[in-house]
Amino acid sequence: MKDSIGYKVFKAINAIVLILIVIATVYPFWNVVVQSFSSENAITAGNVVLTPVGFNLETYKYVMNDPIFWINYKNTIIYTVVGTAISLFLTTTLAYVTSKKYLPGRRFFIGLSVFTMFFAGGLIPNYLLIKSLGWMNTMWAVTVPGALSIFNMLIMKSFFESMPDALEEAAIIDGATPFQILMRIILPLSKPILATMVLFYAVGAWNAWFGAFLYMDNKNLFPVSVYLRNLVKGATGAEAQSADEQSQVSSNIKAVTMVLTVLPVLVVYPFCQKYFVNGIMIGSVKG
Amino acid sequence: MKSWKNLLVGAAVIGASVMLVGCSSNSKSTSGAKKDGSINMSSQKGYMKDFKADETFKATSALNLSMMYRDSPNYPVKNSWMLWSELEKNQNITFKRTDIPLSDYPQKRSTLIAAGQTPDIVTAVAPGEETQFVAGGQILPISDYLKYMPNLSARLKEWKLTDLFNSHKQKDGKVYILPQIGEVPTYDYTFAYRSDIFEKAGIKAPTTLAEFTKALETLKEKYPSVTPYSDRWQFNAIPNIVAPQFNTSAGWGYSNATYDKGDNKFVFTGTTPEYKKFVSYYSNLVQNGLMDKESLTQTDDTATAKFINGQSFVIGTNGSEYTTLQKNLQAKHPDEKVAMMTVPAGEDGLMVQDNRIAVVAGMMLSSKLKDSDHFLATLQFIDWLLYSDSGQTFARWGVEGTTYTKSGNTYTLAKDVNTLGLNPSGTKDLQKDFGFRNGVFYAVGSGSKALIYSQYNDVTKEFSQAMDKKAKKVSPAPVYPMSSTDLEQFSLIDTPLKDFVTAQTQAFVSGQRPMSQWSSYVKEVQAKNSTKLIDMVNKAYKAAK
Repeated sequence: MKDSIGYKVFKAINAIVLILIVIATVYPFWNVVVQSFSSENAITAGNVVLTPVGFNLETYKYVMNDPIFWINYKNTIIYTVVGTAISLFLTTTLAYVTSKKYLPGRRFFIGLSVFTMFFAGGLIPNYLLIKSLGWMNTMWAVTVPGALSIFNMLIMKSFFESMPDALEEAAIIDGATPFQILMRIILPLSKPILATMVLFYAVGAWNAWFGAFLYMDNKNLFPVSVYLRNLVKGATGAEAQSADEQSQVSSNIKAVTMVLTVLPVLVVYPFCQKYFVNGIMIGSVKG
Repeated sequence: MKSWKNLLVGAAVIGASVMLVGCSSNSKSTSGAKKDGSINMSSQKGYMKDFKADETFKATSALNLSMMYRDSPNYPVKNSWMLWSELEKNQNITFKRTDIPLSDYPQKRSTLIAAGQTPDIVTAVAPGEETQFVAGGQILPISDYLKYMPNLSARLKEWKLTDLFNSHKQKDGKVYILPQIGEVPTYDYTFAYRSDIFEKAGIKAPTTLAEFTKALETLKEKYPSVTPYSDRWQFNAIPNIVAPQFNTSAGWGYSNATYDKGDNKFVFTGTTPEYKKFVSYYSNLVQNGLMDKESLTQTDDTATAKFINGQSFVIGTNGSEYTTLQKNLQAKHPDEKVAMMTVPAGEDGLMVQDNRIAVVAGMMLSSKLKDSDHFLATLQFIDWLLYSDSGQTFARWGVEGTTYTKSGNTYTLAKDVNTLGLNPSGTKDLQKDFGFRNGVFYAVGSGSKALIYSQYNDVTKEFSQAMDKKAKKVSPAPVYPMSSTDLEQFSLIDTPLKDFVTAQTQAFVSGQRPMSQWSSYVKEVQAKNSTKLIDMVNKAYKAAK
């Protein structure tokens, strides 16, 4: 059936608006990439817009020669992998268990979980807790607190609830234990939601800086997000003013560090995109 | 309903267990074993028996001091720095450092101190920031132990800084901050301008605000498509140095309470006639197309780009940014020149803040030091490092023969060392590679006049000397220290009022709000409890007198 004129007009306007939004979203990012290949003078003079001016790879060489940058990068990868694994384990088990309507005290556990979404201990009690656990300057301080996102858990729970009971009942008749049911039947069917959770948690862990900032005293343990934050924010703002540190770290160094930090996520995302889009909708009403 | 009961019981259990965990402690004992102001020598190790002013400190037994260190991204801290190895070799001191990124330093500093984890030395504390920690008892009152710090005592006397130092007294009459101090004031911020354009237009460098306005008007006539003055730092830095010309405060230096010498009391700054004059001045500049309205909000990068591209001819600057400006302008057009002018004077002359007690990072010491065996040694070490000539020379220049050479009062960087652009052929950086000229252990304005001037390049030297000739120091306001409960109440009113005044100032300057609405603005300010605020200040002032 051919589109009516009105619908064609709608499609055209839609396309224009979306293209404008894409340009507005992509341009700042593109500008940073272009800056990373430009000379400092060109950036300060405001000449860098769409293409590199004074193209050079010196800044990349300079940043990549900093050993601390790579140590921090390695830390980010470790914290992300370990953190995502811990988060996935905790979220899956809690979501599966609370998705079973016959669990005694189910409402209590769900209520307790939701309670933590609104109330938290505060900065100093958390600090004292981590310190007394002996987790200061270890990766557990970064990966364990906040590992279980109740929001994500609730999404997973909805997903598990939507799975047919018949599957489980068949398995129980065959003599499977709850753990076997989870590992052999439920999880293989849950690949979409698992992929989504991996993406949510991994991106969160990649960008997380505050936990490491607070609980680590040694810069060799920081993730690259702390490194980048100090670089970009550390030379401007009130603290820098009071430090007499008014000369900024050059824009091109900031740009290169940003690009290098974001690169892995950027590379991985297109492959996970379909899970991401589906994942948001999982648990909503099915047709 | 059953589920609600379950939830309540669960919450109560959690709450109780949390409280129990919180109660087992970390006792933060602050009852010192020593009498106020005196140290029991027999319990102390590592101190120098006859430590006098201007004597190099060396601990008589190796000491390891814990320190909270602010890590600047401009010179990321390295364990291999000569700074640390020299302090170990010459002063017999090593450090157990907690390195904290500069970007969020205050937050972690507050958390660590509130959690009772204060190290021996807390660096990077600006005068005024120590007040929030006083009530918690974690910080040492320095003023009680001045007799053990001969360098600080001597400098306060020689440089006539005692009144300024005492203006940092807290409510209990004690000073808790170890500030950076200098013999002479430093002048960092001013206006940079296109000297080639000024020359072409036949304008001399302005020395008063009237001449400054005239210069902008002439520029506007000659170049009608250009708004001559476009500022950076979001209208915080330049108002800070211009407001004193109107006998008021603004920008970074704004304080809600101004001391009125005539009436011997404090008044609310934002509604004084002086402040109105200041705001009108800028509002007129914008209205007449002499100042770029976007100065209030644009990023520093945008403002700098405008100046470099000839879209403005005057911009705010400071010592280090000026060098960057010069470099970038040179790179673009070698015949375009930039220069610094002395701060344009007001009707009463050129008023400057007396910053000989630097507003930048000083230090605090932990109150637990009182009960330790290295208390006296730590006091002596800090006293030497921050307040003696040899200590500050070390902090600023490094090691004679390695990083610099000296003849008379002339300091020269070693051939392979560069800093501040003073030795462009140097391949190593004094800060990045050696750890000297470190903003934690020195300030641009710390030390003797000779030391301060020793690191000025020719432009800054000329500028400082020109400023020195004309500058009149604004005497510091008297103190109004408050108890922590009063301070909390005070802050609850002070901060929103400050934000309101700042926002309205921007509205008046940008023209968004006409100056004719000033009286309604005054009423709005009063409605936000400005009178109550000033009453609190005056009460505290009278109590402290």
